[in-house]
Amino acid sequence: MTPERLYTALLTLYSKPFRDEYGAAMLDAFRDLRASSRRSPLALWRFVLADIVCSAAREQLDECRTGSRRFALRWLATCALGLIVTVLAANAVAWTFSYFYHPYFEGLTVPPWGYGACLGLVLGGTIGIGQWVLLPAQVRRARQWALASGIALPIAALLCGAVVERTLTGMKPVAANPYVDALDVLMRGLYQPKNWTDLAVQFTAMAVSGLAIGAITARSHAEKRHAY
Amino acid sequence: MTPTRAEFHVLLALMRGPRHGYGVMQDVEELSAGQLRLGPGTLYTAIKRLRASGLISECDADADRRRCYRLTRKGKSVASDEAQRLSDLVSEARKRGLLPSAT
Repeated sequence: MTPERLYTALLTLYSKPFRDEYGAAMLDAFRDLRASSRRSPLALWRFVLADIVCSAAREQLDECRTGSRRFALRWLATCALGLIVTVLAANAVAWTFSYFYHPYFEGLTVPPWGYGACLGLVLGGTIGIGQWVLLPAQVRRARQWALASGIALPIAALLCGAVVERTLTGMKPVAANPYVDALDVLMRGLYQPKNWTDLAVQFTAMAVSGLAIGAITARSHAEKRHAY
Repeated sequence: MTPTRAEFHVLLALMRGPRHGYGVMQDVEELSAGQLRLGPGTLYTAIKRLRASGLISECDADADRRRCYRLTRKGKSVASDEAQRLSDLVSEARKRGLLPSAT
């Protein structure tokens, strides 16, 4: 591999817009530096590598603060927010139900579509609110919202899919130490749903209810934009 | 805007007239008596920020078709302010005995 090729490969550490703008000029400068350097090749490469690593890190940070990556990070934050709130909400409900156990609840079950719809509403609502706060008005929210939900939905389903059902159907008196019981309930959230039908019903319910929330937020946003 | 050390040196190098990237690197090494050596990465990230702030602008390519840069009026003003700030700092250091008196 020639030094120029190696340097070109190292340029991939910078963001694409930066490479497109300055990559060729940087390569020219590197050629001149190499041609006129009186240092040993080892010393030259040590200098060049240190320069690339430090400046690429700084440039990537700049890009995160000001460039298109700023939008991408905020958008990902809405996915993470939706996911975290949904998992916490599911586990909090399940734990509360289990903690305040009463024989009256014995045999009470919640169908997969029921808790799927609840989780979808929480997920869709949180992502909708997150996008409202974090994303610029010019962004087409319905599309961005659908993408965000598409990412957060399967993870949320995996993390809290079975927690409510297992808590309600497998209900038993609370342990002597409520914190142990709470931990147990949280751990159950990591279990898979009992069968594929449950999973499919739950996903569908989550998607439908979540999409409904997304459509409402996108629609109300569009109305607001027209009003300006 | 307060320029960083590398940015200030780039502005100083461009005070002598338009330069292409490698020309700036050589000038910076010369005017800092070899104390500061800019690599292509540091130089072009500084150029990107200086261009975004309107302190330098791109001028017509030179004979080798290399992109060259020149100082803008705003760039001169910022460089001058920074030089004044450093000069005041040196004066203060002198007053406090960090540096020998100028006389």
